[in-house]
Amino acid sequence: MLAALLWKELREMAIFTATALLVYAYFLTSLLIPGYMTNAFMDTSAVIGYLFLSGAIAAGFAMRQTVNESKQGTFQFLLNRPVSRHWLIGMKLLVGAGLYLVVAGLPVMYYAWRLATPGNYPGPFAWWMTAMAWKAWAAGTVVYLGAFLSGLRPGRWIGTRLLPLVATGGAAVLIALMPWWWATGLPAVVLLDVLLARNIFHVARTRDFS
Amino acid sequence: MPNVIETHRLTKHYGQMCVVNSVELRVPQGSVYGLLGRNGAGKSTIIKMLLGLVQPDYGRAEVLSEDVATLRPETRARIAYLAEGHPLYRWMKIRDTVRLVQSFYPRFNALLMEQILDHFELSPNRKIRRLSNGQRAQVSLGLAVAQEPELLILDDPTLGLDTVVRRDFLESLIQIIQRAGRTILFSSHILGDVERVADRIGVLVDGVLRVDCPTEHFKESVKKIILEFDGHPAEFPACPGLVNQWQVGPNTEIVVVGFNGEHQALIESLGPRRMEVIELNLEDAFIEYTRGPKRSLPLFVGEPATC
Repeated sequence: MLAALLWKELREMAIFTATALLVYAYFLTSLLIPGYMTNAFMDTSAVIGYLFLSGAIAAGFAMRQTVNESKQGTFQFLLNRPVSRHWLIGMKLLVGAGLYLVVAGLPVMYYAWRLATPGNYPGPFAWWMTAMAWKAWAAGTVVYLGAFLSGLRPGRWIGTRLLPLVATGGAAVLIALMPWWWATGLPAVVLLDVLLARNIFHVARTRDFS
Repeated sequence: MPNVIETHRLTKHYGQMCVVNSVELRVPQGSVYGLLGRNGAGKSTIIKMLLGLVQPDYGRAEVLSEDVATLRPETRARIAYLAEGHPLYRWMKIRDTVRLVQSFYPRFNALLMEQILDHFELSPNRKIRRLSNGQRAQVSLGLAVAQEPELLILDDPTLGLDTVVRRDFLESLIQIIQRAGRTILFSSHILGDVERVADRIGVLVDGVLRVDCPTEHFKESVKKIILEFDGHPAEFPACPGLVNQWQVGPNTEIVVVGFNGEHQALIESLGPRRMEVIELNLEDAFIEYTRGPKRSLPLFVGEPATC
């Protein structure tokens, strides 16, 4: 049952995932300069660009998983199955967040690999040189969960429904740029993720799927 | 016969509007129960509350002797639900949909599903998005039946289907009904469909369950009487059971529930030249009953219910 659910969620996200990979590939081409590489991920404007892109992709993933089910009426198909609503929503979150982390992590990994490859970067490579990008990557999970909550909860789009997405978008920018990140940014990401996930499960349990 | 579905003062508001009002519904085991009502009467909302998809504001519902608020997955596995419009994943093939649904139900009858698809001449390799409304309804029905449920809940299953497909769908439903011990609750506003399959009906008027009785009893209870007068038609006095009345030329036409001696005496007191009692089919009875004033007499046969 869980395998079937996992397959369904992954298959549903396939086109979005492929599109996200293409978008990241295009983004990377603007950073990779043949013959001479700078460490773009130490440059704030490039990291902000990566953050906005990753935020948009995370939000796209979440909306695909929620709004699509609402629009097609398939929440009614799914939610009356003999499995707890926690599992159904949990599987969605697991797949969506997991895909986001993999897809958004790939370009950073690839860029780091290129930097680490001798002859590409005029200096030794160290992982801390990609730290800003990883911070933005982690902040993207907050946007994903905020968008999931916006997609799931009832309400007017131009009103309270978009509020979680807008709020988490702003929070993600602040989190990514926080000083002493391990002491401030990381706890903020964890706290917000936990609070948003709790809220998502609460909304899934109590809202009307009519 | 124990009840498979029981609701107690089930109530739901959307904003200021009360869409389901203190509904006491009893669906006996093994019955085919037709839930009728005009658009917006609250049929779908009741069904969704029975499945836990919509939360009641007040009251509670029990399905298979379990409160729907805490319905265990094992109990849910004994219930099949056909949602209005037959929502399925459009990107899937029929085969994928069957595989997905099958994974949830240990008792899923794959052979029966195959036979149903074969009966409807549907290839498992067909994409859901390429199916017509009728074919999607057939796939949904097959998926529901193959779960071997004890309770089948169908929300307006024939909505949007053409006459031929609808007839075919109902024939299939009748075959399913013949499988012993199964209880079916279905909502519809196509009265001909209900008349063919339901042995008991409930009629919702503005969220209130006004009728809960055997189908035949309802048809026999609602009567239209035409009183022909020589001059100006007389107005029929208000009395218990009077649903509606109107004047057409020299005639007064009345609709009553439970035509009895009191009605007969009132008619005689008006002195009509001629009186004709018209038996109504289910559709006419439903129309006359639901378009009458809200104070129309409730009809409950079986366990008493307050309304």
